[in-house]
Amino acid sequence: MHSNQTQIIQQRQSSLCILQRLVRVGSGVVINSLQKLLAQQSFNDAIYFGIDINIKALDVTLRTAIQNNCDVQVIQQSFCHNFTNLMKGSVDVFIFNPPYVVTPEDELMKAQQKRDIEASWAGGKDGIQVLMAFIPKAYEFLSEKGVFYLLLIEENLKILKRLGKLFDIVYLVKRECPGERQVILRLTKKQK
Amino acid sequence: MKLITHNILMCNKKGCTTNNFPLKLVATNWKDLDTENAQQYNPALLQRLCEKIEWNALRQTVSTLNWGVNLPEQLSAELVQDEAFLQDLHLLLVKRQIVEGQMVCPNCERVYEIKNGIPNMLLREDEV
Repeated sequence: MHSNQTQIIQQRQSSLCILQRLVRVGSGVVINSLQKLLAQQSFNDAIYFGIDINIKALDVTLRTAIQNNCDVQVIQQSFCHNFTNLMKGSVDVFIFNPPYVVTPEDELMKAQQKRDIEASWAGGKDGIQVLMAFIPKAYEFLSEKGVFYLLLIEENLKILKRLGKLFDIVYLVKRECPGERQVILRLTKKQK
Repeated sequence: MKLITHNILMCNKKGCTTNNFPLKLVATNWKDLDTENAQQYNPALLQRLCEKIEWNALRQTVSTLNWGVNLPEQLSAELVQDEAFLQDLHLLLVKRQIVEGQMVCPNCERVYEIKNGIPNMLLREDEV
């Protein structure tokens, strides 16, 4: 993450960070990097939560944290389904790389049931079916000054109309990767 | 899993909408993070957490755990400046990890397992 973004997060006085990665057996690299970057700038006033439906992703996230002297709270859950009302409006940073690959609907269904690696990419029609379900939740839990970073591919951009109703949208990054064109958006709540 | 995580989780089983928080916590195995991996003692962070945390849920839960820490009934402005109190909170919220255990819904008695420090909040299809 670029240092500009770490400054933005600090200006917004974040005290709570969330990495929402539905199922991307990752490694927790993003959330651990964010923690290290912010710590380098002496910003330590945050709690970091990592959420996934896949236990393997969470295991690896914890191991990555230990190796990097970071501290991430992991929860195996779907979206924010088990968060109490108290969490509403309390999340200052969301980072979400949704399963964004365009797939047939049945592939998406099977992937979500299996809760395995397939669920990290299968996004159904336009690749946005999982994201569509997450948008109202993200809006609900994001704090008034919170920031929501979202990784998409060009095929997903139909979602912009929906996002634009709730959020102000900034294009941070557009990049060519083998097989896909990725876009990173920064979303903030529309001021009423 | 730390108590800070327990403090924000409720039961979400189909039809379970009242008295579903806080979950009853059973800690069968726990450990304290060493200083390398735990976030450092940070009064400012703890004070901000005090503003956000469900205090009663934390206090009740801690009183059932036999960890030798007793939390006062109410938070006060003096208390959150008190070094000894903040050190207790640092232990409870930042250092101590529940490795194995369960969380049980006080309403529907759904059991959520904690294994290798990870709480599993996923519901079966017929529970959603």
